[in-house]
Amino acid sequence: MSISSSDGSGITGRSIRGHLDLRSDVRGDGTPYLSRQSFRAPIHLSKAHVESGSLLVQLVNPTAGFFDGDRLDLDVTAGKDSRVVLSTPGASRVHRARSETPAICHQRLTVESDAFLEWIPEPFIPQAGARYHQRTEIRLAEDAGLLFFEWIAPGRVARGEVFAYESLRWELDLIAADKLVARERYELTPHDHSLAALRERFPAAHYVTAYVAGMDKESWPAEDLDKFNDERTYFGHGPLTGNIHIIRSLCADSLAARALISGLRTLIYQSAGKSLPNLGRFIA
Amino acid sequence: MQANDSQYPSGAYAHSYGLEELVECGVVKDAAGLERFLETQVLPALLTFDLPFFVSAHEAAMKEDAARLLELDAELDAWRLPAETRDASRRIGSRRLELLRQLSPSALVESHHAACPFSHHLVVTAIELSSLPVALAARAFAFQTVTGFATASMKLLRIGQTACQGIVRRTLDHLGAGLDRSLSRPADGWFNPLLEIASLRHARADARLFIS
Repeated sequence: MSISSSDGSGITGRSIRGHLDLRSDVRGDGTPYLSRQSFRAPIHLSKAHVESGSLLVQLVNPTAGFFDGDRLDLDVTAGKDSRVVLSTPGASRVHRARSETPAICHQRLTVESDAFLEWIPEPFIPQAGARYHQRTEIRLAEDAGLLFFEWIAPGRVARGEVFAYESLRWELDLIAADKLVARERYELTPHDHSLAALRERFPAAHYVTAYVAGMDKESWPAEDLDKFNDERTYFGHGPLTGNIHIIRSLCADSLAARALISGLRTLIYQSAGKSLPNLGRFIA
Repeated sequence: MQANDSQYPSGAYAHSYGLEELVECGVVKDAAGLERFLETQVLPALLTFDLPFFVSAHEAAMKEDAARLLELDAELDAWRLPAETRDASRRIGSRRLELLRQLSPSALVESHHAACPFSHHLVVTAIELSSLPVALAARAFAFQTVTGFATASMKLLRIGQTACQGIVRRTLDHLGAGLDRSLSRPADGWFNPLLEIASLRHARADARLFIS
């Protein structure tokens, strides 16, 4: 880990510029392993291990969260035929900004032919006054598998911070077989109507969304998924193109969001005929 | 004016664009709820995404840039995430494109139809209105969007024609303030998971009045 550098990376003044560069491949006996890894604060890695046929890697943020001006670049590749699960042991936090500069996270996820990547972080918690910009690019080979979750909390609800952040900028491109399949761009701020859709159904809604690739139409558990809709979870799902599906939901609170994600994981792995990797925490 | 005529047979009357499910689940319950929904969720999406995107399509249509129109049409699929929303846009677009072939044929209309007969409503409207200045064409497109929701609402809510027209008038007044600024901005998205979920759920509903 470097603490400063002349090119502006590392810890400079009050901000940190870090990165994560990972690649998984499979050995001759079919065991997945990390063939490349490089990281620098604010990110740290757990020791990767194989769990139910997938390589499980925990991304740890040892600095207790992002501050304005921090920047993190993630580049993760699930190499041909490998299965990898990336998770975080705790929530990702963005603290109150002391300047106009947001914390920035750029993440690029690539899933090669016959590979599978699950991305399942704990909630993202933007605290009061936080400014944050996240850009995600996901590139899938035609026969790649993906289970990509995002979970955005309204803030530190127990402290009375509900949608008290300053601004969240979210960008996502999902590209499959070189074709743009999904594009999202939005900015959430209390200064306009951008939070209206979140507040309308539940006053402190948790937003949970997922992209799923690699399951054909016959395996997609549509009727079982419909059952996730209840008085505490407003839930929808549907096809994008080919074997790629989207899931969107608004949850009344963190317990409803956690129960939903846990249920979704179990159902999707089961429907795909795969063993569910145990994450070793409350979301099994 | 003809393109915005309520009698224009584009098939738009058969779509609620997710509103039917929002009424069904109790998010939009009455006239006040409809007006709030239009002001806080539909108009911002128009101003941040649809109208700036429409400007790009209108520019391509004015230049008769068939390749760019196809590129924009394909990109719209990626922005419109619920399948029902994509399909509604393409159904209405294809009807308008057929009408355009009959009412106002041109080389661009024919080439676009040949390459993409099931085209998005936004792209077809941009072709249809390419002879108008973009500020007027964008107003016509925005009017179609607002009245589409308003027309559907009369079949879904206890709301009279006069009340509905009042909502349309006030919504268009709100829109007018930001419309010209939106025409010079790049297209950006708008966060509306509620409408997306409504559209995803509507597609799987056991009983429904509207196609979308």
